[in-house]
Amino acid sequence: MKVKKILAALLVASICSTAALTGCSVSKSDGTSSTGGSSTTSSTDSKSSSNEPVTITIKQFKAEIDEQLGKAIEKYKSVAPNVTITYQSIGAGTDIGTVLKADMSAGTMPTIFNAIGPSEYEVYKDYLEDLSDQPWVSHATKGSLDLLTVDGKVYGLPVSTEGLGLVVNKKIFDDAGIDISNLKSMKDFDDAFSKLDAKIKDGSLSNVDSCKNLKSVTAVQGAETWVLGDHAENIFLVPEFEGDPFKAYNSKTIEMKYANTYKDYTDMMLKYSEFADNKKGAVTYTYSGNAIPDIATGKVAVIQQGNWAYGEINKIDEATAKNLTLLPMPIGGDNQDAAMVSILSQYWTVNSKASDAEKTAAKDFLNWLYQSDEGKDIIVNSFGFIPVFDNYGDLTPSDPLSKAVVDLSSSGKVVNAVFKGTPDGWGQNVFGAAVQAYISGEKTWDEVVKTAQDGWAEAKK
Amino acid sequence: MKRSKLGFWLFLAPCLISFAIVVLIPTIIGIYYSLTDWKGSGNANFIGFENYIKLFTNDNSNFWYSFGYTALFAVTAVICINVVGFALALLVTKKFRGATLLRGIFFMPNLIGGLLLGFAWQFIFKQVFNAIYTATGMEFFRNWLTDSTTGFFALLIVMVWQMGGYMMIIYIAAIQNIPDSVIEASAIDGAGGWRRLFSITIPMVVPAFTVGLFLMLSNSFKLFDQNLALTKGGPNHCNEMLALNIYNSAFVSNETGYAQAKAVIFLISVATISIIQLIATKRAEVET
Repeated sequence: MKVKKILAALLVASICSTAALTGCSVSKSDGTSSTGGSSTTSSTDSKSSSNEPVTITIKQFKAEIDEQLGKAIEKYKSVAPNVTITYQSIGAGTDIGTVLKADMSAGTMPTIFNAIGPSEYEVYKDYLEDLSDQPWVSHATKGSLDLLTVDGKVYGLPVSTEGLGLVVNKKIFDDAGIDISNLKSMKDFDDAFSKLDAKIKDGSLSNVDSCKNLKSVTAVQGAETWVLGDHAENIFLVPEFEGDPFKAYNSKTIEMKYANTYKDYTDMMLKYSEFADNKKGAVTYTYSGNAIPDIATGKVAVIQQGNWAYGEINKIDEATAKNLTLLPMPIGGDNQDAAMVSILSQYWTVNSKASDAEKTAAKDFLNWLYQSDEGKDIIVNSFGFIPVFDNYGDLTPSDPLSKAVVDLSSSGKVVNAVFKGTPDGWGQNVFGAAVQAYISGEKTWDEVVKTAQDGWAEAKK
Repeated sequence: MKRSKLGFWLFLAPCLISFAIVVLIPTIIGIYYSLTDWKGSGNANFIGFENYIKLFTNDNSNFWYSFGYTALFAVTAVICINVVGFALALLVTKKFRGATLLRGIFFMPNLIGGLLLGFAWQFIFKQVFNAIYTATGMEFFRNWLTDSTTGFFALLIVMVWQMGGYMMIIYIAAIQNIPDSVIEASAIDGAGGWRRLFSITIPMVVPAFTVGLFLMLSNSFKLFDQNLALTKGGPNHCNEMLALNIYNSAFVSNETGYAQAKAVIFLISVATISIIQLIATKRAEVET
């Protein structure tokens, strides 16, 4: 009899867990993992004041660190054995905002989640715990807390910083004898690219080992509206809004004063790409399906991306990955040199509606992860993040793209990611999509500009 | 008597309750949200029919383009899928070696998930077609998925390939249900192959057509994953079907209330069309 009951209970449990798992797969979470383990510990193990078992949940957007985060949480068990942490990584194509919004309506907001920028502050403001009293606040580098500091209150711990620019296979340019160390204006880029283009076309590079696969200089990821929109639009947003995302957020209209620089840039990138004579073809060129394999195998020398691309390129070809570097990209405006767009990827935020014990546990975990020696090592060497705190000593990232981000930041060739202040969906659905129509020849540039202006005004009405 | 009535409701309850929880109640909540300015979070203010008025007079999110595109696609897809499914069913109900094997093969694409299928075909349309173009210079194989024409036909090919086998199974069942006596009688009367197809087989399987048309119509209207995987609705929204359009409004532009209004219109359209189609084909059915 008893056995039967247990079996029945097991059956129910398994059905429930299947249902839960299917629920996850709907959100297409790329890596779904959790560290379970018992939360009951003998009192001799636990250290200080609170040894009540606490369970906190994390939902985070970086699918790339899924496994590493699991290991970090495993390590944290020895620091705070009474805290059980389950986590879920949502990323690579799935917007964490979609998942968090669903959680918010369902009342299942995680204890720790990600948010950034003025518009997301509006969305999540009921769930954001004031973190101003946390010890890491005083160590954060200048500007790194800005995107989630409202009315002087700090709501987020910066996850890391990332740099967007032109990912370049430096060895190809070196072997072709072209100097790319000091490109500033659009003309500088055009000159360098045209030299390489000429050498590809006259076949003089066919004997050079690094160039044997080289087909074209650049590639335009026309299928990705986030590349055309969100990322590249900084070219004209930065000068128009003086590099301030909050200024963009508060603006009712957009003038598109520097849009021509964007046009010149896109025309240039197309001119030296595989699709120079068939521009329409570029609109199906994707990031992970085309651009990443093409630069990894040396088919192209330049793509517009950021340091996050390193991992995927490295997976395909380690030798090429070592030759990469990140160049600043051209930015509109009269006296503006090319610059790297610094993207503070996200902030860690703590759910203010969680219980006090959960909140304390969450804050302690974040503090351990970013400020303890053990944690710092994880952040830099295991996660591969670029630290945004001044007390990391000589811990620096090891991959060439992240190194370039650190170098460009310290030399001041960097601008803020103003696109974080644009209306929701404007960058991708309105501007990015219109640029696709420009590339395929269905819209003139003036029509693109008008679509962008109208879309902005409509969204801010 | 009273007891059995109680039993009736008792046995119906699990089904009724779950239907209410996952269909009825969300629909009602959805209709309510379509009357608000909800942004997916925070407060939802009641604004009456403003969303609907905007949708019908001043939509700027490509909704009506998507509507037309989806309707055209649904009609074309329903015809193509059912014709192909019926033809395959006729083929594999003929008695020849390997018929059973063929049934399995034709049905197989249906076992692959829509997203995976979309990505696999994206590879074919982009890489393989491009390679054919480079090798042969045939203009036909160039630039697939870059505009609404090739995007439309690509989606059609994928759907026919995927759903043809599924329809085939339904038609096989119907064809096998035709009594042998009727077939024999027609043979004695001297009916040839075509005559028998049009005068016996097709009228006898009309109930299956009712099911087939209904399934494919609602299926094509609500198509989402293949659309997302193949083109993401791009370039410039020109291959964006209704479901994707609503999704983009709700989750990319954060206009959840407005997206709900679209979804309500969508629901009403699909329901109306499906009911009309059901009534029409029901009339054409013959008693057996």
